[in-house]
Amino acid sequence: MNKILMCSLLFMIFLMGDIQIDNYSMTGHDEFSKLEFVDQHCQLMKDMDDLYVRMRIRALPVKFIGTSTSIEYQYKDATYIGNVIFSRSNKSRDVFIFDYSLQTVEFMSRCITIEGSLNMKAAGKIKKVEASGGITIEGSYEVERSEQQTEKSSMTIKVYPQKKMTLHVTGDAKISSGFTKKWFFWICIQKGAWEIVDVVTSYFELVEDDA
Amino acid sequence: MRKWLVAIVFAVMCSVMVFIATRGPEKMRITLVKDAYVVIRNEEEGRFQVHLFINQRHPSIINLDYIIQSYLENNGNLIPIMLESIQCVQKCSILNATYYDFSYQFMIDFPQELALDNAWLVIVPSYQEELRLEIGSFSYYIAPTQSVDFFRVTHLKGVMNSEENKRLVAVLLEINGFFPFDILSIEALNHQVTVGNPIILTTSDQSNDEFLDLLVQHGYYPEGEASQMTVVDVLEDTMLLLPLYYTHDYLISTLAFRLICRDGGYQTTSLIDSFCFFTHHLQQVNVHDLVFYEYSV
Repeated sequence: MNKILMCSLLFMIFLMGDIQIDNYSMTGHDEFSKLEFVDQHCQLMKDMDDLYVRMRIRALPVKFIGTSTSIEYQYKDATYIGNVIFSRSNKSRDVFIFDYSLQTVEFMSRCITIEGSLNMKAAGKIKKVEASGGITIEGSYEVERSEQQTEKSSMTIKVYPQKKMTLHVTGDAKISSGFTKKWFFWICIQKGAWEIVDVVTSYFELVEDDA
Repeated sequence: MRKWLVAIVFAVMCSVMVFIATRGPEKMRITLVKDAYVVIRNEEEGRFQVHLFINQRHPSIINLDYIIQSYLENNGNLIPIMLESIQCVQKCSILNATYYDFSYQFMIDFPQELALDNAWLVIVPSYQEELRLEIGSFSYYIAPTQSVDFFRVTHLKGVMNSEENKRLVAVLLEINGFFPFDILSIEALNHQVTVGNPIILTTSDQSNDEFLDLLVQHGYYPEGEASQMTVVDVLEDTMLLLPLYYTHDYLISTLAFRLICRDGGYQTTSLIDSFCFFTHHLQQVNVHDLVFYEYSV
């Protein structure tokens, strides 16, 4: 009997995982300083009412084994302002030259935010989530990064004395979000809300300021 | 009964073996997305990459030791290039068949500038017929040797069209002159793109839509022809909107510019290095536009 209790306890601890607090982010995604739906009526997950999220999760159907998912938005158009890609200032008296290539800059093509006990494998599309195949039990936050094709994207940047060169990125994205519960013998072992941002286009802007 | 069963199994196995033995070798299929290639040679040799999609993971054509030579061909002219490396980048699916994306890196060191509208990549292996692949257009420029800087670039940004298929229609170029001088010409370093007469701005703090309106007010439309450039007087801070005209439908996201500047009697050529104005993460390619080349291995 004691062995069964011990095993159950270990199993529960394994399911709980580590407790951690993510960094504060304006958009709920560390990669974006601003993220807005084109349709003003849509809301980011971080702006959704807690009660509404809880109600939507509670309404998910019970299953024997597997996941039940409800999609809130699927590939909704959005615009974003990304974090600064680089910013180099020159406090010296000489011109500072450096080679910049997108090859050396990894920037996100898909960002995922999870709230609750869920986590999701970033590799799949939402369809996989609907088919209950993309949910895994891992940490609490995951971002897939991809290196871009880069052979066309290198340039030499000159930073003149007492100046600063900054490369900004903005662009278009598609946002998908929803609510998911994971079941094991009719017991809910994980639940939460998720939001995926698929970056479609990135626009780059090079600006010089005083250092 | 058992004898019959053994005989049937034996017959089936023989049929399978005969089928495998007589089946011809799988044809190697290659395809690629045509592009507007640009190489700007600085002090070192110029390099460019061509992505070939091949339906085999380990074809002999990816072995550098088997490749004797490679060159670009355009209207019977041959431009020698050197194959430096081949790398498998990713696996993908084209028309329900598995293909592997191989990145072929070439080096070119040619004494004069080139503008090839319809370039063919020719790879000559030692053991089979040569590969001839139409890769698109090819521009080759020799960067101006280091000269006195007339200006520094303080702001660089692309203006995109408003349609679904995003395209660079103009470039915002803000420069700060070290002394008053004239810009006699501005050339985009891709012979598929021509720069129109620059629009001199009083402020660069405008949205993409405002820039588009401004272009229309100045008679810009993408299918139009670039007008003759007038000389631009550059004082301390000058903001220019450079309208772009395309001669082909290639998606061009990276551009460099060559400016001819004049200060009194002294004239020099300045280069604004390649800048990536945008990237598409979900670029769609129409498979019906692809050409599939078949070679027996």
